[in-house]
Amino acid sequence: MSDIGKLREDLAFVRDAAHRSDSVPFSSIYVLWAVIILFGLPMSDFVDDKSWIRWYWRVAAPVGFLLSMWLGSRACARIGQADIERGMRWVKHWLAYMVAVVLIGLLVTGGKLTGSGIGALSVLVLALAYFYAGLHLDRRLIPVGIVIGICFPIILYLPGYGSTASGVVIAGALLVVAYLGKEKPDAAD
Amino acid sequence: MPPTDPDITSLKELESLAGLLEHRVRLAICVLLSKHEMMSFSRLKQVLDEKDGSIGTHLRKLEDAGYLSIEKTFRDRRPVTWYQLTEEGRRRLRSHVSNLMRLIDRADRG
Repeated sequence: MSDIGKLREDLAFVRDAAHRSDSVPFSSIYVLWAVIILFGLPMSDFVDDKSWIRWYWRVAAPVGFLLSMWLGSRACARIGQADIERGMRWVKHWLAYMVAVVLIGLLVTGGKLTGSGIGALSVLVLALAYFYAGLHLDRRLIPVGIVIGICFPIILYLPGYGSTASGVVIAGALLVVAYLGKEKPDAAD
Repeated sequence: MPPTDPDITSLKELESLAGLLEHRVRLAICVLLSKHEMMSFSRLKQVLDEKDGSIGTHLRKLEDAGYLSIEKTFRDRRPVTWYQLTEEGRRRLRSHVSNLMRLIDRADRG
């Protein structure tokens, strides 16, 4: 093989290794959010007192966010990879989503959006958040973003059980991602 | 100014690539550590799919040359060795990769 050919082969080896190092097992975080969404979205269909829904998300979202940070740093420490800069990108990404949802809430208090509209709009923004997280942080989240995007018209045009169906579908998509990214048993340090 | 023979230029650039980062495993170690702040011995071994002895030798060479710094911690009472790229390592990697790209670019055009 020529020198240039060997260099190309070496670069391909380096690129593959860099690609493999991107796969950090965040399965526990996806399971956590599958559970949060599985309980949270159907509330719109079954709970009459809407204040319970507001309180659920006011508590579940920040607690889930903090738990995700902890689980993420634990996963990185367990596999032996410290990614502070990458971790901060995840934090900023989801923090921006939470700020967007709070701002959507202002539309309701300002009378510019109905209470039921906030759910659908939040799901649409969630679809974008997952899709962009897939593009920039973890490619496995791209299909999840698409699945959530498909749930938007379901919530909007299927009154009664649209939110429940969406909750089940989104949780299922997250569980599939969690299962596919499950950590394989590895040698000791 | 005398004309430069492209083959001679390429040869010179190839020679400039000789050294520690010539080996693909050592190059990969430095690239991985430039991408992630710190990696443990076992993670590097897993990602590069290398044996303990082989990766240990490469890491020691890079450490002896001042490209890497190490930190030892404990996790569940087991020692974990963490590796980090030093400023010198980062500088050498940048220069090596830019030479590499220039050479490949020239080969593509030539």
